[in-house]
Amino acid sequence: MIMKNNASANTSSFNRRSFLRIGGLTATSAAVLAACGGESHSDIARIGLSPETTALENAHVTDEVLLRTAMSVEYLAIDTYNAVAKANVLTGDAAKALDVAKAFIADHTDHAAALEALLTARGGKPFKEANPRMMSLYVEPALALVVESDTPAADALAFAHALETLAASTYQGFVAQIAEPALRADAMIIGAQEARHATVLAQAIRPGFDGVLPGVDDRGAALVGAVPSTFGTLAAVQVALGKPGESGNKDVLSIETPSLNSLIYVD
Amino acid sequence: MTGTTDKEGFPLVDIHSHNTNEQAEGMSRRQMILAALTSGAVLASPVLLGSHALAAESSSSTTPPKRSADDNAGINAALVAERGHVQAYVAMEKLNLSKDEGAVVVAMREHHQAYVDALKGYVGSSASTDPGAASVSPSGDFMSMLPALIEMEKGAAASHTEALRVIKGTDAAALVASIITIEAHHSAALAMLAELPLDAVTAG
Repeated sequence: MIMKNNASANTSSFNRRSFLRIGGLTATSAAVLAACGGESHSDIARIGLSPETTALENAHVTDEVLLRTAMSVEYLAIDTYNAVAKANVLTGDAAKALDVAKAFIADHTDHAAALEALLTARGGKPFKEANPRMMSLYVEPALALVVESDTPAADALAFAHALETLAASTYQGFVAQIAEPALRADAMIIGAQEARHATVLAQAIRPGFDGVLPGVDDRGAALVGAVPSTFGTLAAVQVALGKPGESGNKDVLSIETPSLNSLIYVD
Repeated sequence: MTGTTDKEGFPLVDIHSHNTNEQAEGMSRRQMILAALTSGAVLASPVLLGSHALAAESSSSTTPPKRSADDNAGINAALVAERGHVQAYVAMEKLNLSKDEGAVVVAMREHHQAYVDALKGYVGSSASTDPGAASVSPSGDFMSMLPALIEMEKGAAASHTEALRVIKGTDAAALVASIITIEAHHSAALAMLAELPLDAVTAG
């Protein structure tokens, strides 16, 4: 009972004004203490101390960057077809695919030249190498899976189809980022041909009427179609490659259009 | 304290006055909160306006608009053309087609109808009511019609591509680009069914 009375007395004396006063004193003390902190005690961890960081450089996604990246995708395709040809996996009935690969290499070389002309006409610096990040993330692992596969020719075709689909999506995606309208049209002239490449390869995988539209096999796995969708998509392209595992499934590689990490910025 | 009030009876606060005690004594808590919010909004406004101006400045010269009313004419032209392609495939469906041929014709008709719907939706109430005319006049059988359909699809992709040269808005450009991609697939798929040589299949 007594304790209760005392408590009541304490509560009444500790009113809102006192609370605010003490709160203000605490905040002020904290600010003074923080201000007094010198650099001589930098080894001691405390609130408000953080390690020095190096700020990232500001990188701007310009038309030049997009055109350079498009060039890098063309060289990526050229290097991939050359690597597949060198790997000697297109043999037997698949040997005629080498002629298609040669024709597509010629097309991609033309695309790179067209992009170079567009770049130089605008004072830009061409990029004449395969996209390094896409090469290490997608192409190198894919080629390793193709070579070790039980069906290397089929896997090589599947990956080539995925790569051409990705190239078409890349140009389509760049249209919304390119500032100069005329360049959007130039990009889509190339992008449309990448789409036609993908169609040829889709028909090589699933020929005839059956392969015009996408489908599913007996196990429910997706089958490529010459006309893949109603509208062109920018979605990641998935392709199953390599030797089947214990479950009977191949590894699925998901490849995506160039992102901020794989754009070829201007030095 | 001057006692100046607004229409609802709340005191008007001179935020430049240093005599805050005098004001505070004559104000209720609600009035103080209102005054604080008001002065806060006034103080914050230049900051907000400043940042807005800065953002606008940085995006004024190089960033293309998402939408532009100037694009409506170009989109309407594409819309009318697509209606013509739909009519061509509708007429194709009346030919004596096999099941496989019919499936391809129906799919492509549905795709072009989707383009009509998307383009019409983009321009909204400004959409053209021009029904267009069938891009090709089908006769004979599916295989004999393939060359005309291939040219129609190639022409559709080419005309949309040229439209991109003048379309300003990125939304419209992205929509048209997504149509071009599939129309390129259409022409190549039909060319493969027609067993054309590789260079004819991949040419635009």
